[in-house]
This record gives sequence, C-alpha cells and structure tokens, in this order.
Amino acid sequence: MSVFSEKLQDKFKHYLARYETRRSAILPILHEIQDEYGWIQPEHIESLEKEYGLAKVHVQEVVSFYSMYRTEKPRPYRIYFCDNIVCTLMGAEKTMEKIRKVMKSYEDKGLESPFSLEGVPCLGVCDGAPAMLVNKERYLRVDSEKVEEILMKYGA
Amino acid sequence: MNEQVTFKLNGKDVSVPKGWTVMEAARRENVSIPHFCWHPGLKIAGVCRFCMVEVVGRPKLEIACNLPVTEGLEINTKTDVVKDAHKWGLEFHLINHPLDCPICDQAGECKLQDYYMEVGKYKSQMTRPKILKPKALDVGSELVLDTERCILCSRCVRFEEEVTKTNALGIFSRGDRSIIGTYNEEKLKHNYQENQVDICPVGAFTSKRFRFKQRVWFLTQKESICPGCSTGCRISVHAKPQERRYFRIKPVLDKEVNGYWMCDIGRRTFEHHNLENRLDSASLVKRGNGELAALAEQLEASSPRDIALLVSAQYLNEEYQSFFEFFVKELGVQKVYQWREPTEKRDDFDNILLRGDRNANTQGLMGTLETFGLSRNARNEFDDCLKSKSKVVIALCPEITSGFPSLGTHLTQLAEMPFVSLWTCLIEATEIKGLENLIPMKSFFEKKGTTLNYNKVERKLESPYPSAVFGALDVSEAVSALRSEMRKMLGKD
Repeated sequence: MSVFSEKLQDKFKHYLARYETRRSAILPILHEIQDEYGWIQPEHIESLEKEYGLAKVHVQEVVSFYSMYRTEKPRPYRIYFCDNIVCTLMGAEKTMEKIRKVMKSYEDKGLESPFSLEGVPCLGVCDGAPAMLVNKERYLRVDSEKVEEILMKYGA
Repeated sequence: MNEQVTFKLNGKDVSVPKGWTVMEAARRENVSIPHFCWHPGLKIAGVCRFCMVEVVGRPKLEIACNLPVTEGLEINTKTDVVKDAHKWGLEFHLINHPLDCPICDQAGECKLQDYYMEVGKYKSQMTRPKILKPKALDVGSELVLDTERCILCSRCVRFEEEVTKTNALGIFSRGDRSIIGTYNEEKLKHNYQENQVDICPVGAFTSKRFRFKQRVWFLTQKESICPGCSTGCRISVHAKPQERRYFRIKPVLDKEVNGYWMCDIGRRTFEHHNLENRLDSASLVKRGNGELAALAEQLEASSPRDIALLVSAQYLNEEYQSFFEFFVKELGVQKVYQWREPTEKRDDFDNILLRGDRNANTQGLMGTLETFGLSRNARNEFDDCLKSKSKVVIALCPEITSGFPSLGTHLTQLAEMPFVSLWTCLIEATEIKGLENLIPMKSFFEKKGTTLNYNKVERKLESPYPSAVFGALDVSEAVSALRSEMRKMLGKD
C-alpha cells in the first residue's frame, strides 16, 4: 500500500515518463508532494525509492539543494514578505516588525503561532510595494495597519 | 575503424584514435595534466575545473578531460596562462579546506598537496573565516569521512553509481555549504568501501584500518597477487620490511583481472602475515632433532600406503610441483586429498570481483594434480582423509582463514590422527593440543612463483618481501630440506 494517494501516483507516472531520465522527474514530483502534504517527509523519500526506484540519495540531493522545499512541518499560514529594495523603501521593514509582534503575542500566551515569516526576493509587483504572499495569496500595499486586518482574517 | 587523429601537444605532433580526449592522449604521452575529478575507471564529470589547457586560437582555457581530440588541434599544457589557472583553481579549492595535513592520513599521497607544491599561491587573500563542516563521520565499516577536506570532485558519488550501483553517496546542499554524505546518516554496507579511499584525491575519505598507523612515505611497495579469492586481483603490498610489518594492500591496474578496484575482504588479507600472528622457527627445533627430522623418521618408517597428503588450494604452482614431485613421484604416495571449506559456495560471484572460491590457486592445484595423473574436480575431501586410517598425514594448511570458518574444527580433528605434520604460517596451530609437528611456512607475499586465477589467467609473484619471521620456508624449500634429512638418515644406516 503506497503512502501516496492514487491521484498523486498518477501524476508521478506522468512525470516519470515525461523526461529522458527518470531522475529528471524528481523535481516536479517533489513539488506535487509538497503541495499535497505541505512538506517533504522522510517517509516520502523512502517510498519514492521503494515504489519508483528513485535513489534516496538522489532525492535528498535535490531536496537539500533548493531552499524552498520544506523539510520541516510548516505553520498553517506562511508569510513570504518581499525584502527587496522597492518594498524596503516603501516600509516593508515596519510591516514585518508588526507581523513579528503578532507572532510573539501567541508565544506570550503560550500558544504556537499559526504564522511563519520569511523574507523573499522580488515578487514582481513593485507597483504594489510593499508586497507579500500568505501561502499562495497575494497582498499589495501592506502597511502595518492593513497587515493586522489581513492576519485577523487568518485567525489572529 | 581505428581512425587516427593528429594534433599538436605542446608543439609535438601526436596521433591518437578518434574519440580520445586530450586527457587520455596526454596520459599516453606522459604529459601530466593536473586533475581531481577525472578518473580512468569512472565516467567524465568535469566538475573540478582543474585540468585546464590552452587551445590555440580559442579565447578561453578548456578542460582536457572533456575535450575530444580533433584534427589539427593545438594544445599547450605548460604555458603561463595554464599555470595561472591552476594557481587560482587551487586557491578556490582551498578556501574552506582545513589545511590539517600534519594529522591527515592522505598527506604524502594527496593531490592537493602535490599540485600546491608545483603551482601554489602560498599567500591566501581570504579574510573571511572558513566554513566549518562535519568531520570524522563514521560512514561505513571501513571508512571515515571528513567533509571539510573534500573538494567535491564527485568521484565517490560516481563510484557508488557506476561500480557498486548502490547510490549511497550524494552531494547535499549547495554552494560553499555543499557536503558529501549518505541519506539520513546511513552507513555504506558494500564490500568495496576502501576503493573510496584510493580514488579520493584528497584526505576526505580515510581508511579506518590504516588511519594514524603510518606515514605513507615510510612504506615500501611491492607488487603481488591478492590471496583472498580465486579472482586473484593484482595488488601492491605496503609494508615496512625492516620492522617485519605489513600495513595495507592497494589494487594495481590489471585490465584483464581486476581493473582499478579490489574488495575489502581482499584488503584484510595482510593481517595474518604480521609477526604476532605467525608461526616461527622456534617450533622447528622444539624437539632435539628438529621437526623436519621427526617427519623424515616417520616417513622412513611407514609404507607409502599409510601416508596421506592433505592439500589446500592456497599455495603456488611451483610449490605444488615440488611437493607432488617428492611425495607422489619419489615416495610413491597415492592418497592425495583436497582440503577445502565444506560450506563454501564455490560458484558464487558478487558481479564485481569477489568469488565464492576463497582460494587463490584452485586452478593451479587442479592443473598440477592432473600432470601427476591425479586429476579430479575441486571438492572438499577432508573427511575422506580422516577416514583413510593413514598413519602419517602431511597437511598444507590454508593461510587465509576468513573464508575458512571450519579450520579450527578441522585442526582439532587432525590432531587426533596418529601423526600429522602441519605446514602452516598461522600461530593458531600451536594452540591445538596434539598437533606436534608444525613446519613454519612463508606467507603469500613472501614467496616467488605463479598462480592461476578462476579463469586460468596466470600471474607471477616476482618481488617477495623477506619473511616476517625467522626460519619460515616455502613448500619447495621445506621439501628439499626434508629430502636431505632423509638422505642423512639413509647415509647413517
């Protein structure tokens, strides 16, 4: 019995047939796993070897090379805040400070914050700076007041 | 077929078969091109960027390992631009290298050291601290890994992919944090681990067995044949003869037999050769008139029908020849038994090098038996020997015990026979009660002669080490000493 759903397995088969070498399919397969489970767990890597013959070492090489593959269980809402020049000039730092404060208020109450914050390079919407993503949702012109509203929406 | 291409190498015209790379051509011409990641037994990776050569008419230097020779190509390997490239290449390879040569086992056979002696920059411009990485990792039963010393040439990764097909090593992370490692700290489990030490151009992989034992430049090297199994890999034995001590075994290229590699079981076959494991001449004179004289007495007093020969397949062709010449031809002994491990799986093969027949010279023994009209198949006849009710048994003991788990039991059973003369190099024989007649033998690396491997490929052992113990004999020497003992006795009569 596979640890992967049948739908996922169909996708794997599609990718494995798509490239010249099976090893090339590791990249899109890992994306699918991450989309489905939120992160890549050791049992996924082991199952890829057992079920599809993709060597654990080869998968781990790819996972460790790209920093955007998650190898730890993520928080429910992951905030990617642009920290490049335009957003910084438009006050990104101040907004990020606000987000950190909200996150800390959870910890002060002894709770785990549902948010994680990460600075990322340009999101390609400089006209809407400062910009951020929450999971795959995009927000523009996020100042420190607006960010509070947005976080409320996610349960803060 | 066999089309030749001519190009200029450092101004000299050189012709090589079409399809060769500049690296291969230069090697044949004895022009050394410094390199780390290229290895003749592995596929081309082109990752170390160190084998830079100048191609006349092209703006940039190119790597020799991946540059096919084409007609009219002009290559320079010794010009200042090339040397400058090597200098900078080394500078980059050493940015995060710990420079711990004084405690590194690779020192003396390290390519980083060698090349730095030639074209080093000697003054680093780096002001940032080195990036620290995991050290002294236990990655397998034979290996220790220091990821700081590693230059990421990927030879070990390709070895795991191409030779052992185990895919156990990979390069994780990226940039200057890249490290070699196994998945989830798993250990390498195969029998070819120490080849990683050989192909590692730096000191990242070191051998657990050899680590911190000896500086390599104090070691003598002599070629021999691995006595570990019937493949018979060509090897180089590293030892300090003046101290009568063997330290390690490395493979020597033999395209017909072992290629570039050898197995870990084979590499362990030097241990029993050392002094503390050896039977020495003290036992030769244990009794008043000596062991050989005691054997001669027994032979003299027995009819050939009561004498049996028990022969293992770990001796050399010449030794078998003189052994059977004396006992079978001259004395007329008819009872000859093969001595083999009863549980052996003779036809096993791991599809790389190691064979189930753990005797170096089974084919040689078969061939010699045939010339004496005693031809038969390889099989264990130890029990037949026990049941033969012989009064005198002359036994050529196996010296490689790793593939012979029943040896201890066999020796105990032998000790119950009326008179056994055990010819052996192993000290263990002295621990068996009742084995009175022990003749100390030279070990495999201390003899001259020939062997036949499983495929009947003949190889010569030409440069023996002096024996680690005093008074050890090879079979031919023991036979002629025995012959003169017997003549002496006849003379007296």
